[in-house]
Amino acid sequence: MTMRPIVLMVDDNLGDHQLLTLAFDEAGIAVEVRFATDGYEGQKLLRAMTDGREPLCRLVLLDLNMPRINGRELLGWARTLPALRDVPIVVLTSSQIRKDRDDCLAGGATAFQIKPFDFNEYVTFARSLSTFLAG
Amino acid sequence: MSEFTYRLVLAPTTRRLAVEMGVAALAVVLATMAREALGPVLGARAAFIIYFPVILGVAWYCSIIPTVLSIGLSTLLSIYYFVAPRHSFVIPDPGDQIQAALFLVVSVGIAAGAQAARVSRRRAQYAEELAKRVTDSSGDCIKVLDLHGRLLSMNEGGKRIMDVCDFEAIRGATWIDFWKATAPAEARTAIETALARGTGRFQGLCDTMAGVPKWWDVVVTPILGQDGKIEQILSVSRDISALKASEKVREDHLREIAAHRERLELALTASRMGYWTWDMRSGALTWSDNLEEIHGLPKGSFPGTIDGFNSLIHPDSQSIVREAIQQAIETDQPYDIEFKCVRPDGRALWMRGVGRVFQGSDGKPERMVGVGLDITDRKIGEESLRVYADDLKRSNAELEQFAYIAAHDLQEPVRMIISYLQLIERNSGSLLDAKSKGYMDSVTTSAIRMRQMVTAILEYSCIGKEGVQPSRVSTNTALQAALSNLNGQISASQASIESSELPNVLGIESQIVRLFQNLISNAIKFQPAEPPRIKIAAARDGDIWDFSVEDNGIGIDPQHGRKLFGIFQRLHPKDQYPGTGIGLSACKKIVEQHHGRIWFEPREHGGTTFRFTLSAADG
Repeated sequence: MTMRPIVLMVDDNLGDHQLLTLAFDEAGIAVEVRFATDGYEGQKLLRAMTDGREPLCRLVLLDLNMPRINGRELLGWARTLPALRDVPIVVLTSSQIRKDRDDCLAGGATAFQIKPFDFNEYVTFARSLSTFLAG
Repeated sequence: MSEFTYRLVLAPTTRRLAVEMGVAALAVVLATMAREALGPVLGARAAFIIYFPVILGVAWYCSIIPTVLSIGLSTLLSIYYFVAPRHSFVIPDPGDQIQAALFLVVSVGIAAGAQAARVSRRRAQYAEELAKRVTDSSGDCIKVLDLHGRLLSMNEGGKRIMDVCDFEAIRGATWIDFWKATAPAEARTAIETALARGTGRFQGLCDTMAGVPKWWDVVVTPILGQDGKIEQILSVSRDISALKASEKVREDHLREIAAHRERLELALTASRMGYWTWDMRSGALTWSDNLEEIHGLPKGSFPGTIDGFNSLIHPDSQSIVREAIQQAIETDQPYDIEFKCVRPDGRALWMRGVGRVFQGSDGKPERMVGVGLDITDRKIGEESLRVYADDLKRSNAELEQFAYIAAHDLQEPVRMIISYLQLIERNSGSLLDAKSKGYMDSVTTSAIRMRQMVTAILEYSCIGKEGVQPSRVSTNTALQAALSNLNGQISASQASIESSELPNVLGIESQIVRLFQNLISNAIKFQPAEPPRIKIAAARDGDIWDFSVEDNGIGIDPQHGRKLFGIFQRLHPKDQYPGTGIGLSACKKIVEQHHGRIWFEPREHGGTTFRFTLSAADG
């Protein structure tokens, strides 16, 4: 069995976890999606991945507004880790505030994506991620 | 010798002297001819006597030179013709010599006496004439009354000013009767005073004989005879009508001023305004009475000094007042300030002070004059209005924040609903019967509509939160951007859109794009059968540009007026004209963010013109 690339989704909305998984399926992209339900969980998991205790993910999808540690804080922390230097972090949020977008891109986010409005858009979004997962 | 005597005796006028000389010579010649005629009767006797009456007559009426001439001529002629030997100037007889000498002496005596008499007679005559001339030329009405107060005479000047044509008609009339109607008591008292050797005086109104009413200042005095008894009464009346008239004018003025002043005071009191004068040299500060009342001070307790005034000013306002006065003195410009005062009863007092400096003749500030107006009510009103406005602003901001958060957080569940509805459709769509499919469609349509509304609220809330400073924006470019965003709608509706060359304005570009986009989108949307024709133009009005977006659409009933710009306001059922009802309220918010105005006007032949203003960006 070939190792499927791992995508880490840090989001407190469990619906998004399921939709993302289904969207990858629908798009026919073979990935292993791992979930963290907030920034704190995300931090724990990323630390394990960079320590070698867990396999390193190929891509991080990061929500902004979350309990305990929010996306902005997690992004700031993640970008200090050399091991994550080459891992793309895509901010996926429902915020349409321009300042959030500018701040995230300046803070090291690879891309800023407003959450898809419906499932069809989710599939389109999942397809657009394939460039990050190749190789 | 007095001037009068000199002129009379020695120096009459040349013409008179010539006449006198002629008369004197003629009289002597005539006397000589008479004596000659009497020659057969008288013989050689009484050679001189006939000349005495001639000399007396000449001396009585003429001056001294003709008198001397008559004496000399008489002497010579009498000796020549009547003293023996006749027809010779020689007087051999000693008796005749004595007679001739006697004649000379007596003649000189007669002449001297006659001249003296003439002088005193003429003097009296002259004095009388002078007195009459004086009284006649007087502008006063001078009357002489007898002791019963009856009119004896009146001077010419008096006749003039009393319009007396015929004095005889009023001679003997009782003087008091002239005053019967206006001042009988005063006139009677004046006469009585004069009869008691005093001076009676009064002012009264009396008609002239022509019926012109005049004011008179009347002085009544006794005329004393040489024996010191009162012989007659003198009444001198002076016409003071002009004086009285000017006095009346002055009184009228004063009355008018007093009335003005009363009204002014009333107006000042009613508007809670007082006036003051500050004499900058003496330091005295004079207040109108109502200023004390305004400041809540007991009547008369204001000390009348600038320090006294300063002590009434609230510490917060001290510098405002001081600087205003300073500036008024330095710049010679009036000041207009609002300041807070301290009232003894602790109530708030806000005053508006307006004043200016007046310079003395030396060009230095001399006094300051101004008014103080109690504006406490207005200030309290303004303050509560400000608090109210602040509250409103805060609550609006809170409401907007709430709407933003609510809309933002609603996005998630709406996304989920729509996404999972799609999943159900994909996985189980084939299992549903037609009815259930219809239900599913209804749920989906509602969820999508909800998503649109949530998005619209978010967009509306975000207007003005971009954190972008206004800058120069080309509205040409903004319009092109809006049109390109509306590309689909425009081509679907076959809309034609014209615009003139549009100006640069001061604003936020993304908002102005939205503004055009919403207005054009509306214009396309609210369109009956024919293709939409939309015209966009701008006209300069001072510092602002007045934009218009004109359409040929269904038009708007003007009664909808302000409602039109309300949030979620729809004038039509959404199945007829879809939309969230937020587009125009977003436009209004954008224009107001730009400190402009937006409104609409119905077009004459259908359609609507939306107008809005933006600040011009020049240079």
